[in-house]
Amino acid sequence: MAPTRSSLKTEKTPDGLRLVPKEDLVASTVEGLRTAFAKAVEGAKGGVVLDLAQVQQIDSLGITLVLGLFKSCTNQGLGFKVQGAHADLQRVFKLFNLTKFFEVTA
Amino acid sequence: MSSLTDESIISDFVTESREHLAAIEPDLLAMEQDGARVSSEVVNRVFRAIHSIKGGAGFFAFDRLKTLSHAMESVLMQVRDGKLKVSPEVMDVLLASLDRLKAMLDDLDASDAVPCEGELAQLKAILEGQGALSGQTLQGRQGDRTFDLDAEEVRSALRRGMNLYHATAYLKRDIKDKGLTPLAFLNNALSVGACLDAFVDVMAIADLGSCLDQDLPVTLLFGTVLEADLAALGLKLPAEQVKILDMKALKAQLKKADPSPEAPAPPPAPEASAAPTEAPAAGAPEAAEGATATKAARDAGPETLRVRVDLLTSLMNLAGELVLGRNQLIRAVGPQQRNIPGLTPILQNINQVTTEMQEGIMQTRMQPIGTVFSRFPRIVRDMSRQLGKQIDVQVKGAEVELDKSIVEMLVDPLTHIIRNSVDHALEAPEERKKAKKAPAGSIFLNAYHEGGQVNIAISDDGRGINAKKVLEKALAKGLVTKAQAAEMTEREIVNLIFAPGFSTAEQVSEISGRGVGMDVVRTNVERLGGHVEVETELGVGTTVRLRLPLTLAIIPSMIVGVGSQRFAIPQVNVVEFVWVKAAEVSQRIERVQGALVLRLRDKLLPLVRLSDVLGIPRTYRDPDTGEVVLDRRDVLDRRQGETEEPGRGPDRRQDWRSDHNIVVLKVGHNAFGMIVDELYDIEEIVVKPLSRYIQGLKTFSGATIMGDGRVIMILDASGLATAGNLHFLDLQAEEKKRAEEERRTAALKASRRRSVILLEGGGGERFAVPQDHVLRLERLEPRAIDHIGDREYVEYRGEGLPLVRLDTHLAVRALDPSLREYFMVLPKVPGAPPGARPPAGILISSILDALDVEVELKPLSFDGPGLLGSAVVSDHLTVFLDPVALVQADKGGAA
Repeated sequence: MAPTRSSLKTEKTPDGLRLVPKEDLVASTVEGLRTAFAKAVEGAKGGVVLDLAQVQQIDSLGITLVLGLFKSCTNQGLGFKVQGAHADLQRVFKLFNLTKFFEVTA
Repeated sequence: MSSLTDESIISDFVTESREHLAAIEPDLLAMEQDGARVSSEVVNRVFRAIHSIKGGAGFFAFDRLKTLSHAMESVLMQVRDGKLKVSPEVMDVLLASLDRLKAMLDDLDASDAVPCEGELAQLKAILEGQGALSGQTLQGRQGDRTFDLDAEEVRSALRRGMNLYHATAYLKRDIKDKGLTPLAFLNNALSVGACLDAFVDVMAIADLGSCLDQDLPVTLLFGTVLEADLAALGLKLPAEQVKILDMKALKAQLKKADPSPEAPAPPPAPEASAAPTEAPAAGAPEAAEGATATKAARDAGPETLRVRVDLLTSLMNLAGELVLGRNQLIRAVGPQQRNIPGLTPILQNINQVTTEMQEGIMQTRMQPIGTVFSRFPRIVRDMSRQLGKQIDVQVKGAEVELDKSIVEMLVDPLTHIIRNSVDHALEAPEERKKAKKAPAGSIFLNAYHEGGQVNIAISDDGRGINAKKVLEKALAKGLVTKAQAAEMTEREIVNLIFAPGFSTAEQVSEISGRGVGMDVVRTNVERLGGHVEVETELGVGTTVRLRLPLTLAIIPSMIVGVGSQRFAIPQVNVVEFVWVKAAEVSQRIERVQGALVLRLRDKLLPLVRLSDVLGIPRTYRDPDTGEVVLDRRDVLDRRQGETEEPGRGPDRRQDWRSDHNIVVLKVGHNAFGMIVDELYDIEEIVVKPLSRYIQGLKTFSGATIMGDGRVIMILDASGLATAGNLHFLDLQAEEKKRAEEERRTAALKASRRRSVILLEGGGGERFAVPQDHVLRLERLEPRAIDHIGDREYVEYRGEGLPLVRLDTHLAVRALDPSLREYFMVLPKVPGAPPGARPPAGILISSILDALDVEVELKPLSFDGPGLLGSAVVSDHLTVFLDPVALVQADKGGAA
């Protein structure tokens, strides 16, 4: 699926970059978001915050995409954290022990 | 040291850790070689291996092992994340640390005493040298992938009657494809049990670009009261992905463990798994299961089970006994087959099953030669660093399998050969550049099957072995005589490096190649029933080739008899059988320098009588009396027409009883014949080692039990050749001598019947040479002759051609120096390829004629090389010459 500019909001912050997906991280959106993520973090400095405030649901591919973003950030020496995750999302990250790799907050 | 002292559990941990270390050593070398281009898969593999060792060490509380592996893991993490460049210095530290880990695993009880402060300090320095990168949020915890367990939590689960399971769920195929979200999957799992721990293999992900192509495994440590099949159903996972942990062992560990308030060291978590994990070995705890599962996942092959070697050896011995029993059974009841209905299919079935069982058990002992090859890149790397050389190691055929005992015994000889290659054969980069070679030398290890044997070739592109210097050393040490040396080929000379007493350390540099202790290599390889030889080309490289049997345990052999005794000869040594009828003995068998030889298709083979070599009295059965009496005859006893006891009928020397059965055996490149009384059958024999009292007998390599229950000895072909005092070199010289005689005879015949060229020498003397021995006749001006020392040369096809004057070798007159021109006869060397340069030119005064003659040559009153005789041609006494023999004699005497 072709990426749409509206599916991802990118904000530059004093600490780095904030990525705000505007749709769920599910099979039908991950391909477009992956392209958008890759473009956004290319050449970024500092840390990357993935803001999931507007995400209601993450499926298996969504989890994989978040981990791919995390690995790309670490490969580039960028920090990574997840913010804005609602309770169910936090529960998934916690039960999979992903909070050992990056911070996940509401 | 841990209070957990279950030896079998710890033993499994040690075995698996050693496998990990052996497996990652080549990966570490690949990381160094490929630098930034190294694949993430390689780095992850190394990381996971070290991580598993760390996890196990932590679980068993081997603190030093854990500390060192943890420090290595931290450095590897930096490498994996691209924050640390792999330099030779970094690799030195990692490899040195690897060695320390090996040392600790060699003696776990004393592992805390293994000094590794240096390695720890260096690893720490590497880590600190990197500094903290900005925004490295929580990065340091990434590699922490062990199950986080609370001992009380485990105890609680056990108290509630739960079984613990190791479950693997794949995000795509087990969750998404079944219409579940990760949360739904987890909620479902929690509805049927308790999730004690879980993790996703983050390390398996490369980056954004490829992440969606991967199906990541989620690993759960899951507790439930359900039995295994129901647990899998409850988790909605395939049964093979849900494995129960050994509850008995786990409870025992918890009971033995120090019930301190601290959480127990976590068992290592399984690593990224692309295939279903395997069942844990009986008695193995979950700690061991993780690593075992990892290996299975990586191999993605059939399920495996770890079995003790001594058990396999025991099974192998039992299989051997079964084969013997089968043979004895068939021998004993075979004659009754027709009398007992149904016996034949039963025997056939037992025979078939025994064979298959024996082959199957032998297969369990087979190991890939790669287990030995894998250690050489490290050895070469370390040595080349020390010596300032650049050496690439390439391996082919690592999957070729040999019996475990052979593989183990190959370690020393191969290591010796490789060390010699690195140390002596391969040049330093500067020297290689001068020789127009690439700065980096190569060592190529190649294993392959050929002729029922395994061949291992170790090749290098180094400076090669200087045959001339090898020969000088061999002569100086009296290993060969000058006469023998004159007849040796370059290949034979080079192989003198395997002769006992050839080399000592200080000789190596003089020989410019290999040679240190190669006799030990040969001894070890021959002890395995193998053979070793070397091929070399000066300045180009050297190949040492080992030929080995697949197994030492059960081998097809030829059974032969001498007198009343039987012996087995391994079939791999048998070339052919030759039957020499009594009437043909005098034509086929003769003596050369006092030794018996067999003439076989224009070759001369040394011949021994097995009875003589083994000191068994030769006997024969008297046809009249039936008595077994001593046979006093020699092979070549030709007292034809006589009878030992006149009046007793036909001569025994001429009838079938005096036929000779000869087994032609090979030892490396050489072959010899062995006379035996009887040839029986080819049988699969089970090799039994010799008793220590007779182990020193070189003529025997073992013993076996025949179907009729009798014990027979297995003959060693190499030992027989030694005991028979066979001289292969002498025979080769004899062969050459005979070939030369035949050639001279042919030349003589040619000079008698064929066309000749008449030539004039000094003072009008006449010579004739057969036309077919002449390549060309050339005109030559005396001023064109150059002198170097006492030799004369002329330019021919752009190179100097030596000149031969007849008066130098023969009692004839010298050429007239005032002549304005000479002629030159260029001999045609038989067998030389078209366009080959002649070895020399023969100077003459003039060419008189070319004509056909029919003459009877008379002997000359003087001797000399190339002289065939004399005859009157065109009313003049003419000396007939063989120009080839003349120039070859001149070459032999040339400086």
